[in-house]
Amino acid sequence: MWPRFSFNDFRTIAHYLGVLIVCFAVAPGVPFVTALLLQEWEPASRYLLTVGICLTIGTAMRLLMPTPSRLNRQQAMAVTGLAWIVLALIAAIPLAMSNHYNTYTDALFDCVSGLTTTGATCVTNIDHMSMADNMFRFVMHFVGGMGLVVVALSLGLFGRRSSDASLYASEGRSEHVVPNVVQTTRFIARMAVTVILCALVPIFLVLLVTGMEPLRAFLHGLWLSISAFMTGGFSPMSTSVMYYHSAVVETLLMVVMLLGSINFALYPEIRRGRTDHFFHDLEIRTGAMWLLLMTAVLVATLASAPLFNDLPEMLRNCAFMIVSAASTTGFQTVSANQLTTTFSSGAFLVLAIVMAVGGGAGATSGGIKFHRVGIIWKSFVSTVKSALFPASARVVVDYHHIGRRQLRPEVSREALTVFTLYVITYVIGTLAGLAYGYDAMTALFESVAMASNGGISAGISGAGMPLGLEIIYILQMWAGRLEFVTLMALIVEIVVSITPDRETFSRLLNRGK
Amino acid sequence: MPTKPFPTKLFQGRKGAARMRAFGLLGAHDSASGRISDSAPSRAHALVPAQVPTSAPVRTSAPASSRAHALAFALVLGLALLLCAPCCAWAEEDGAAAESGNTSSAAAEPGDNASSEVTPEGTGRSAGSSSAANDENLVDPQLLPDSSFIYDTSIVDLSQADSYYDGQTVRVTGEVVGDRRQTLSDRDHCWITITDPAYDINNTVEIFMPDEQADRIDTYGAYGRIGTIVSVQGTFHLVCPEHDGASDVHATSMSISSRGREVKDAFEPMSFVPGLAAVGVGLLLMLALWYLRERGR
Repeated sequence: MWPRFSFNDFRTIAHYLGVLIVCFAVAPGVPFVTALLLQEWEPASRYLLTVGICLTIGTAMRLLMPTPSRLNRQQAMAVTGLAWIVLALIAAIPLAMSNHYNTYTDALFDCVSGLTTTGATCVTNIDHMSMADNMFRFVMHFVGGMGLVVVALSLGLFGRRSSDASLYASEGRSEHVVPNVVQTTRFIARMAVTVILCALVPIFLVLLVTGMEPLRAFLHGLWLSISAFMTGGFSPMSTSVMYYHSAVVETLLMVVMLLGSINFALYPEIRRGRTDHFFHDLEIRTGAMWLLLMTAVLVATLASAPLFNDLPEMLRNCAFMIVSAASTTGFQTVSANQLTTTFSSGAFLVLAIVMAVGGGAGATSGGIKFHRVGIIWKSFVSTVKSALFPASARVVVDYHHIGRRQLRPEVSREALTVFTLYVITYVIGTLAGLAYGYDAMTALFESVAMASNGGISAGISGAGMPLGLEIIYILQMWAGRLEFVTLMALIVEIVVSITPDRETFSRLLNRGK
Repeated sequence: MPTKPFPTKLFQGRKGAARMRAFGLLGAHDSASGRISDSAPSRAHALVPAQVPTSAPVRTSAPASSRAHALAFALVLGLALLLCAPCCAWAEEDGAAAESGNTSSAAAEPGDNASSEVTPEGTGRSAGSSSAANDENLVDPQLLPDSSFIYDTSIVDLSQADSYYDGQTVRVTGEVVGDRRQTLSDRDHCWITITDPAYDINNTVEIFMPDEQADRIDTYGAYGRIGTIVSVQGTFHLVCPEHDGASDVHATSMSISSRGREVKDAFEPMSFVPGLAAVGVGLLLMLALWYLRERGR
């Protein structure tokens, strides 16, 4: 018997979604202020309208149950799952009203991409986009990278309740940095702001030296820092990071991307002086080995092509591409055209695999995650050991993650389940791309980029892409951000809830007779 | 649209030279010195059969005494001339087009402030003619087919270019957007970005150009600014080894088609009314929620 939502459940979910929507009114408020300061009047009017829409719709939903009951686990899952798409639907309104999107779906695609920190875009003529519109895109990256529920929890919007933990976990975060959920979310917020500000200063100075106007240099520095730490991938110019032609900027962004893709639970360990916990961690070791191996493979695949002048230059570029793909940021130092025309199929595949695996769990990265890959490897070791040792022997395999832990069957099962779901989603997206007539390798690359929230595009996603494929990619981004379990549980529960049960069905049949 | 490359291999090597002489593209061969005279006929006469040198020994045959032979010869000659006429006309047209392609870049483009081109040397485009004037160069390079040159190319074509375009001389026209970025390693050059004025998708090309050329750009396109429309000629690199594998054009010359301008965002109070109304409704609803909650306590 599957659990069902009652009418009261729906009202409670609507109330808490309303809370999130009202809270989200701050997001268009930032570009509204930006537009007023820079005298961009047309965008200012759009963002004022969006603030009003957020307040109106959010409060109307809260009125469905003015004094709600406490959130249970199912309701928390539904709130988290629906929040991403409901907020994207509202956020798409001001963007669709600008002249930079051909259709509302294109704007929705951008908003889902922004909130899930994918970084793929359907925008047109981005080089003439207003500062306010750009600001909104990066605010979405910030909010989405932090996690919608994390932001709400850190602001105390849901109060200090027992349901907070389930809300927190349902957003794809499994670990508490500090014991209390609200304190954990506040720690993450503080750390994000600190890193972004630290990255902003040098990037701003470098851009200033290259001759950019001070205001533009500051805003570009801010946006790039947000995009890098939140592993988003949006950039204010159409040519992504290539636009700056600066090795210093690329190196700084590489460091910030790496910081954003390391499990946030490990930072307090360094602060407490337990550096051995950091360097012995399964995730850190798996990640370091994986990145080194894949960088070497990428260098080998690109070595035959006359792309770079010397080896250090090639290593730097390959390292940037690997870090951008592994952290699922999606900054590009090569164009989509170069990816398909000058890169060998091997290099193309390497980037797709790196994106598919992704970065650290409990960070802002997407993909399968280093932690799960490490766990699956340990499971494999455990299976081989079991086969080698006598049947009476009890095989114990342990790993380091903030202290020594024993590999339990449920941990292995969870890792394998999520791994399988990711692979299935990659395959479904690839098949959809093939059905629309795209080349197999390109379709695979794009599908991986969407489901892993990587966002490096091989040229399929963009203005004018087929509507059906656009919707499939939106669903992939959404599912990938929530790591499937929340979304699938939500879909199952909604379907079960709207399907009449056996008693109701028989009652309806009898009434018909 | 890019033109197809001319099959240059046909005219390379000894056999190629023979072919060229046969088509009258090269001057007469001096059998004594082994050199080719530089009195090359113009390309307009490329398909006219090679002239027979006056000093060449003429084979004297038996005099054609009969009138019938003379008439037949006249008829054949007339027929041959008739057949050659369209070929000559085609050759003239082709030559004229090539000539205008090579020299018309200084012609004014439509725009309010069209100006002449500036090459890095500041001498205008005279490399071809100067090399032709060089006595040491026995072959006029302007007469040779040149596959390294594609004339007017669109930004869209370059954004989707394949290896065929790599290393080609191209000329693109577009709006300058973003910023002028100084390269830290080479202080005499900078980067600019030009975009396709159609704006339908994000097609842009990165241009690497000398500072003195970039100084002439007055406006960089952004929100509220339409950038200078420029025509840039240079070498396209699909993957530039000099610049970290970037896809770029190394500019050799640039002309300005039209100046940039500001497009002020006018303040219209009425456009804020829907937003203010929505915020007002939202605040009223919040007030109602607060009232309901207070009453429920």
